[in-house]
Amino acid sequence: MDRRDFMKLASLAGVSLASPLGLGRAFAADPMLANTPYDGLFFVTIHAGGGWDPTSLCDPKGRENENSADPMNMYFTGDIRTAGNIQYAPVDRFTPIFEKYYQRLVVFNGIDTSTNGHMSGTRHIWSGNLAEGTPSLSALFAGAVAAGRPLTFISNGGYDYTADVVPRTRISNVGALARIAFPNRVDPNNASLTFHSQATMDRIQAARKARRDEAVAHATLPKEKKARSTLFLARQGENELRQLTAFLPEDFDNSNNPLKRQAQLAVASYKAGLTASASLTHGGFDTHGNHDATHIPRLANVLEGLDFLVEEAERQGVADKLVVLVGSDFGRTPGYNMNNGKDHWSITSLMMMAPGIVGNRVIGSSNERHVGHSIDAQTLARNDDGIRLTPGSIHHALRTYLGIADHPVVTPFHISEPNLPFFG
Amino acid sequence: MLTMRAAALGVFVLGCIACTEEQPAQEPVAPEALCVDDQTFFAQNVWPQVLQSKCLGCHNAQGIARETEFVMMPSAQPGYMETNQEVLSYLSSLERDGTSFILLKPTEAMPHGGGKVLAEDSAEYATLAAFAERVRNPIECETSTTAQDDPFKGVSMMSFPRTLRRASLNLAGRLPTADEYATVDRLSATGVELVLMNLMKEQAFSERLKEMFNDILLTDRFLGGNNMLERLDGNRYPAYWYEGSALEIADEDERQSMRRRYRNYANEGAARAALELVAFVVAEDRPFSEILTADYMMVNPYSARSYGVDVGQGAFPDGGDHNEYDHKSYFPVSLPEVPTSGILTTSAWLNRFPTTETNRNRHRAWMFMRKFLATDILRLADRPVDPTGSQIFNPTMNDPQCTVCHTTLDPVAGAFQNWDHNGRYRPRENGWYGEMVPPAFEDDAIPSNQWGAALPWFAERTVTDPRFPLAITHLMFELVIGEELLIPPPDPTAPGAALQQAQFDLQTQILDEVQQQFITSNMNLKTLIAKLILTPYFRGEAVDSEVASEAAAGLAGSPKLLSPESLDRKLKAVTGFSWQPRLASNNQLLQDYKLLYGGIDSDGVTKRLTKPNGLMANIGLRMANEVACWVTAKDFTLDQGQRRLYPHVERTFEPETADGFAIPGAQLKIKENIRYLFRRVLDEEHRLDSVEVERAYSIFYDTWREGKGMLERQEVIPQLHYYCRAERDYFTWDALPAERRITYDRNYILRSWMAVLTYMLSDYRFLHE
Repeated sequence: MDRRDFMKLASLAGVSLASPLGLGRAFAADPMLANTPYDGLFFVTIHAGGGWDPTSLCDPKGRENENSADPMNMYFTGDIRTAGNIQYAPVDRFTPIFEKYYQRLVVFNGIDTSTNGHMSGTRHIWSGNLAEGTPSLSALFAGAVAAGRPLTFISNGGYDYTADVVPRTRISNVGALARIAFPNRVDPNNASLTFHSQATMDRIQAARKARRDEAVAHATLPKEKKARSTLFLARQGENELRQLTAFLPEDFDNSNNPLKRQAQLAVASYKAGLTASASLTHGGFDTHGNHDATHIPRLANVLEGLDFLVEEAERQGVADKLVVLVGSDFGRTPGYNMNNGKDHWSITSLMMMAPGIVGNRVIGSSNERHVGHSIDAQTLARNDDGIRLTPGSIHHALRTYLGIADHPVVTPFHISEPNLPFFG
Repeated sequence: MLTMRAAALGVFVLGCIACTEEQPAQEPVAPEALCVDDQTFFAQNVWPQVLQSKCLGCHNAQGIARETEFVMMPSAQPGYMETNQEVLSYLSSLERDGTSFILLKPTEAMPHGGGKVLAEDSAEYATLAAFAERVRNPIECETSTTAQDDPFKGVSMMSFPRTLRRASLNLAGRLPTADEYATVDRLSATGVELVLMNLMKEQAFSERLKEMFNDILLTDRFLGGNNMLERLDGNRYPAYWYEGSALEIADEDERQSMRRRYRNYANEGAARAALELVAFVVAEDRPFSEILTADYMMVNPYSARSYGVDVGQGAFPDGGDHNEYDHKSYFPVSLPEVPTSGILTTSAWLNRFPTTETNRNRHRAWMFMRKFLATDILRLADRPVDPTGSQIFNPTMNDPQCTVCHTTLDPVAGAFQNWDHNGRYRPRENGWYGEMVPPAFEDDAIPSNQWGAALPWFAERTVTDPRFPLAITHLMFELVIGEELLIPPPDPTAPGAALQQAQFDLQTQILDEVQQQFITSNMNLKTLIAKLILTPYFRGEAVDSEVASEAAAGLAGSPKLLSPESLDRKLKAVTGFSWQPRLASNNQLLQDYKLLYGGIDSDGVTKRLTKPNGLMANIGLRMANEVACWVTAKDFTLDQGQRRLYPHVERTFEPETADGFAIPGAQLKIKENIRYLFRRVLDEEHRLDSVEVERAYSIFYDTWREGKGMLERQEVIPQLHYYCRAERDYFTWDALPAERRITYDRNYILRSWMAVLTYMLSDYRFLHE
């Protein structure tokens, strides 16, 4: 396929292939690099589905003593732990993770999501926009830097709206990947046993291309043009998926922490040059009842999933490209309800690690009842006359950090909040 | 009244919509050459810029301002634009000291319950002021700006036979018969409707309908094991009756095996009660409202036992023969002492959308309103709220930022008051929560003597509300057309907002018409589906961009990637087989690749992928390779007249002699079969000398030449791969009679046909409908 054809079809599919800013080796100004393995930044989000409780994690609020009325949490304020400048709830499973990563970790506390609805909260946190219509940052990043890669955005749920800038990929059946990667092999492990000879496959492919070119040229229905082009782009990776099988781990994690298995797949796919972003999810955080017993172990799962992701990236030699953001729909109400649960609360937190970002920092804060403080737009310190810390301002800065803020895929999805100097 | 000409309307309207705060909206005193009539001005400016974003949240029939004179209809309701314009015009005509109420209220120059929502120097105020001026001095244009002619002018519709084929595959998973095509040839659109109304009596449609509604209800999550039975009310029903059954079987292992069978059947019956009710109501041509109002529940003979139904009413008896009691056979029963309300009181629905002590049925209420009252409460929550700053006692009743949703939501939540978190009928001892808005439908409170049957009372009112048929129309649009409904642009100043609004209006117009036909048919769902099939959404095929409006061009047609289930049905309809080598093996599309190919599991994965990614693209390619391999030899085992794929050729038909001389007769037959395959597989008609037939023939011929050479050089063997042979019956796996078995492909003809079939099965047109 020549360059002009590719550009045209990509454009019809709603995909822009112009170069992003500031990503030296990221995919890429040249549309033909659609067939070049992607090796730019690897953007991963970990979503705690249902609304996590930051006061039980990285914005800890304890109770003074056993007689405290309406306690925020059952642990004591004096037991709150610190790792560097970062405070966290006194849970033993948390400690090794915070100790291991605090120097790379940036925590945003007191973020105002302005909602306590699951759908709107999840949308706000992962797109930076409370209103409908803005894709997740994962989708925008993939669309900007590697739109032509076959598995450019792997989603395991959460907010994964794409506005068609890229297709989503779900990988649920690892065992089937080899057969999918080698569609012409009867047995994926036997290269010599094929359905058709290679010459026949080439013949079919050439005929398919000729037919498609004519169809696209003659199609007048906008939806059909787009659908044909989308299929065409998806097929660009026909022969590349086999790369994925080369990087899949021998054994997939089979623990009850779903993040680990998702992380293994995402890292392998990135390593194979097929993926630019991935969303990992862990559900079960909507704990309106029996909060501590069910919620806190899941928070530990999230931290251990984060650790597993980083280690897997290191094992595959790609940790220096990993940008990871951990968050949730919103927060949970101060104190416990009649069922020892916690309901929906609009204040939440985010945690982030990324290359080139100074860690061991906490940006934003909240009071003892988890009401967010305003911050100074310049110094980022608490300033009651300042501005609210919102998902929009964080996303604005993230877009700049990722080098996609001015990319034509991204600019239609405007963020009105200011671009604050979170990352220098 | 001013009368002006309507030139350059588009430029003017777009110019207005593009106004931002930096460039305040200006009173659109149009040059004489331009004209925007009042209706258009309202639709393009007042509604999207001001009313929808600033006022509607409170000023709607359920909102906190519902007692005022300013009550608007949401955009989901037909006729909303005209009605809202009328309301605002009336209010605009009310003045104090020469200033219209619509300017005094939002600026709080007069008392306003919602406080000050507009500044006098804002763009929104300017827009309202312009509207008030227009109410005083209406503007009409010489040429109405409202398109009076066909809004889909310039859009070509697919032929009625092609419409029928697509609809038939979609709804019943089969190709039309010759008689059905003849009916359509004779009666055109009426013929399509006629055939479809008959087709929708078939069991295959019933299965498809349940599949569609499971996408909404997601109750198949409870299939398997005793996932549903364990949620039944153990104090009321003998859910686990099978534990003491099959006593007539002496062998312990066999007895346990039979009990597992009964358990699976009973669980399936309970899990599918809601879907089976939908299928039953439609099959019986009853008003679709009965899915909410039915005072009965659907059961199979085994779930009937789990609900304590008598044997005399159809329940499976102790010692009964399971072959006589079909677990796929469902029938209605009444459950004593439990006020039943269609799908809403099925254990599956209530557990799929559960509640908690603090949620108090709000999740159920949200889902109910979204699906059956065309009202998405959470859309109202798109406005920023700050619960952390609320010092108001009981904010869900008293804080305006909470009441915007809760005033509407909580009365509906109260309708579910008798059903606990496990979906069991357990009326609360002390009644519903006093600190919540009382249970009601709109302003009609549920009488206290009806609280025990609050849900049936509520459902009866729901189905007579005009939003119910609208909601069902929306629902079926998404399920049949396969697209999400458009919404008005959230930001009317954003790029593309004018087009989005125009498309939204056009969509509303189309669905209004369909909805009216649905209502006229006494809410017969089959009528609704048939009418949707005939819309430009389903039939749009080509666009003349010189003639068609941008909005119409963008809406027309709905080519979409087939779901795993739809692709499986199409494979069966076209080739005779699913993507599985034998009936007893895994169906690849429905099992191994179901989620990878964008399907759902009704549990963690509940939304289908509709755009292909790299994995899905390769799955399509593998499907084409495998199926072509499995079905080609199989088809040749049949007599020529019975074949689905190769009725014009024999496997002895080679295009040339061994000496390289053409065999014209064989070549003609091969091309005829290729033309037939285009028709059958891709629904395309081509001449024998067309480029398409020649291209496919080249695949056949070149593959055959290549293969013959390889055979001669013994680079390949004459036997087919094991997977591609036809040696056993697909259904029984018994060996085929020796004379029918196909193991060899000594002249490479079968493999050449496989190449052609792979080409077609991997084509865009096969994978999409």
